[in-house]
Amino acid sequence: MSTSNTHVVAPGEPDVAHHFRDAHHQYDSNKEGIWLFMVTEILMFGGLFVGYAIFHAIYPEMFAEGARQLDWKMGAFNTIVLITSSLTMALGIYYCQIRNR
Amino acid sequence: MSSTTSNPNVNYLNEFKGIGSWLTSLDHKRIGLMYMIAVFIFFLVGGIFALLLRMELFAPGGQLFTPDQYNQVMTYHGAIMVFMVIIPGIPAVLGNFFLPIHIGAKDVAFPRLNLLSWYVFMFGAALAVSTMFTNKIDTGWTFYTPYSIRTNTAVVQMVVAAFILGFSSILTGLNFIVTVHKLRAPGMSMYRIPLFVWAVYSTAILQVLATPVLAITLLLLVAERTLGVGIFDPKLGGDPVLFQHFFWFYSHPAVYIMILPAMGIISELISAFSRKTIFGYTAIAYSSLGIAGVSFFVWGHHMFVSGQSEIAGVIFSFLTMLVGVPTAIKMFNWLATMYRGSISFDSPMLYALGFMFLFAIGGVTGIMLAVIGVDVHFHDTYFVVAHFHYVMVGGTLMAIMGGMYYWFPKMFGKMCNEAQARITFVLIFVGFNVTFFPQFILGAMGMPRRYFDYIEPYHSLNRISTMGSWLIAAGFFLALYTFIRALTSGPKAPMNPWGAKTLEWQTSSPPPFHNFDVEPVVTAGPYEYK
Amino acid sequence: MFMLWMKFAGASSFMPTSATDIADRVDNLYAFLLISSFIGCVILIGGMVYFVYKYKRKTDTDKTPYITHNALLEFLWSFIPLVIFLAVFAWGWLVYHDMRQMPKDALEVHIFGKQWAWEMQYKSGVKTSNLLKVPINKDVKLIMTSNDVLHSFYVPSFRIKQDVIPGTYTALWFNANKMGDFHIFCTEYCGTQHAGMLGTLQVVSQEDYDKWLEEESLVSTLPLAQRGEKIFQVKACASCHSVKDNSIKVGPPLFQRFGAQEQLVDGSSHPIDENYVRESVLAPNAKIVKGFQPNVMPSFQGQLSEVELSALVEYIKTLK
Repeated sequence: MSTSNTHVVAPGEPDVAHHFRDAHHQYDSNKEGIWLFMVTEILMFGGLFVGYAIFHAIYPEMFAEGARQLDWKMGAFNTIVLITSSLTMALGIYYCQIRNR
Repeated sequence: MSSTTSNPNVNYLNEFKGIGSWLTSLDHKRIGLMYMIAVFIFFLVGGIFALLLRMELFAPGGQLFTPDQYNQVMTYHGAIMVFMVIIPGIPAVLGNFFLPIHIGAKDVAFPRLNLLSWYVFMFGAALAVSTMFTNKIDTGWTFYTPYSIRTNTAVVQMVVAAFILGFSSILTGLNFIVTVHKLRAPGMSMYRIPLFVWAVYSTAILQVLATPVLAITLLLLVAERTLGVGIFDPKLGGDPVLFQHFFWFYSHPAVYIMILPAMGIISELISAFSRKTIFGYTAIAYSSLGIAGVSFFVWGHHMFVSGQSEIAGVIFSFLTMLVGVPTAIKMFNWLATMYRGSISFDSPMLYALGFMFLFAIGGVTGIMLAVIGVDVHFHDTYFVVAHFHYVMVGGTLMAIMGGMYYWFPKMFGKMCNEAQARITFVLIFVGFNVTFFPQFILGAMGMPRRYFDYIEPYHSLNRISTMGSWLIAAGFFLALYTFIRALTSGPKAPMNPWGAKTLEWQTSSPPPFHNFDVEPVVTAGPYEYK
Repeated sequence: MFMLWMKFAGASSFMPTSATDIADRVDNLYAFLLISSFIGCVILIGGMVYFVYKYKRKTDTDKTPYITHNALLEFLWSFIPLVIFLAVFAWGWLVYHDMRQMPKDALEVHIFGKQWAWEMQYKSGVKTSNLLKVPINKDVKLIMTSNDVLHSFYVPSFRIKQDVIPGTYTALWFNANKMGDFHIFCTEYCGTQHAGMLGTLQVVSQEDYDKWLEEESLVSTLPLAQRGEKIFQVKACASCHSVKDNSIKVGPPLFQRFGAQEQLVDGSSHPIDENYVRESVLAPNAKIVKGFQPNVMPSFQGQLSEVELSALVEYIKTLK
């Protein structure tokens, strides 16, 4: 398997991949990687949101007309689901962290 | 667990065996080779399409194809060469293989992500190729609206494929940025990394910052085609020119994604085969970053006649001139590196010299096209076709070939046949000029691009151009033969056949799985020929 | 000396015949670019060839000097190109500015790009297709839009080009100083017959132009079939349907077809009569001939009067 030919397990540092010096080094790199990924996501969705804002400014009455076709109950339900999932995710990470300490 | 062995007969190629060990390998060298095989196959396909196009244009009127078939072949040639060959060509193949070694690392920062991006790439490529067997596509690789919204062909599949390929490009770029930031060996400061790494690093920044814009553009196009959202189609209140702005905001930086790593290879080759330290290291390194930075603000030079305002056109013309300066700096620095050097004519150097020759022509014609009053005449004619082939083929492809002959001994531990490598160079170099120089003249005469048919005055030059394409093809088939012969029965390569100074030449050929038996400690710059 | 060079560069630049003052100015700028590029390439490539020859490796133990940088040199080879680039940029701007400065009191012609023909609509009501006739030494302004996808109006001899965009107007102007026929190309990829979207720009004397315009205006008094022939030309039907023989262009040929049976894709057949022709013009997808694709021909619904439709039918009857 792939793990066997790539992970050299250094004694005392069980979860550090072979090309990192130590756990701190690995954590640092991972952090930078995820931030870069966030940048690309922001660039991608930023374009969409800016487009939405511009079109909303140009055609406000059209957006108002569109909004009237939507069902507020469904929207509210959707929002609650999204917020709950974010919350549980954040809580999960938080408890992972304090238990590790 | 034999990974830390110092047995010289064990290397990354033979330490693990079987196809499964390749397909699940997290080793950057193996992933680089996997990319190489894929890119090579797509190059073959795109090249065959190119030959077919030239055959069709051998004489006026239909030769092989109907107009629709011609338009499809033209689209596949462009899309395959851009998205599946030139963009991944250097970063994902040679960059993957040598960037970690160049900075003394054991691997890239995220090996799993690296493998994932290969699979994403293959999936996107498969999707793109699959359209050949369904509805085909005839929009040109630029997918200009509203044609791409109205044509009956497989635009959605192709656009989704380009989206996926772009995602793979983002992941590779992200991986390289973190690798360069975090995994440099002790003593390897940012000013001691080889210029190839600087170039791939600048490219990675472009990949990460520009590709998301392409992604969202393509998604909007898909939304427009499938859901009928009126963003680009004037029939639904959209703006077709907006698509061009979005598209070139990515695709112009993408042009530099294609050429910057090539310039990095040339820096390595010129220094190594002149046995001389590179002239103006910082100038070359910063000119890569400079080109990457300015490239985000020049997209409008693709749109001088698209109906954008006069002032917009003039500003883009001005900014485009600024890109010329760092490019000129690189050329002069390479020239100065050769001054009082000890210049050898090994095949990689021939390709580097060929690069400088062709890139000089590609560069000055680029300046001509940036002059807005002149571009109005040349825009969308064969002059543009000739210009970007001089840069993309004469530049990038020459550099890839030079890099392949240079690093082949390191990658496979075998030497290529030098005589064959030189004949290949002559064939490609001569064939290239015969093919594309007449196209400058055709463009000046006014022949528009993407034409299935042309009027009689353009006949003789088109015929010469087509004949040149056969020479290029002969060159690449000879190269393929050379590589296969070297793999099967080439002489064993020494550790440092060229006498170069960068880190990859200080480990065995081919390198061991961990690249270095002992983590290197760097005490000097990469080009210390003293 | 410099002028001689410019002349030489101009003569060997392969640019097509120049037929406007602007075109001459573009050619001058291009000649200057050619010369300066040539000098630049000689310095770069010549320097490279010279160094390769001069500093060829003699022994495998050659020592090379350790030169890392030279501030003055590096400044010079950044600054001098920058100055040249800015100079040609400014020169190009001047030329472009005059290209985009629309003249007042120009002869205005509306241009419609469509897949795959150019339609010219003169203010007097005269319509032509793929033929733009203009008087010499007169400012002409083209007001352009597209019926379907992007096109681009390009006259190589005038060095002018402008994309033609659906849903908006773009404009071009020129003042021809030579009589003769010049090519019009479409330079924005627009589908199957992109390469066939050619036109002719005819520059004639003012008298010839006035005479031609008057003759064209009399078309409405022509016999029905001849009028149909005119409409057939104006709508560029001939770019897809052959009328002189049975060769297949994009759509089915019409030569000697009236009264015959047409085989359709669904296997049935239908006689080509007056109503069949009428339906094929107004709703082209209703019946697709065997061997052809749907959605290729645009509908002419609303674009033709009843008389014009009858004229087309009568014209097709005469194709024998």
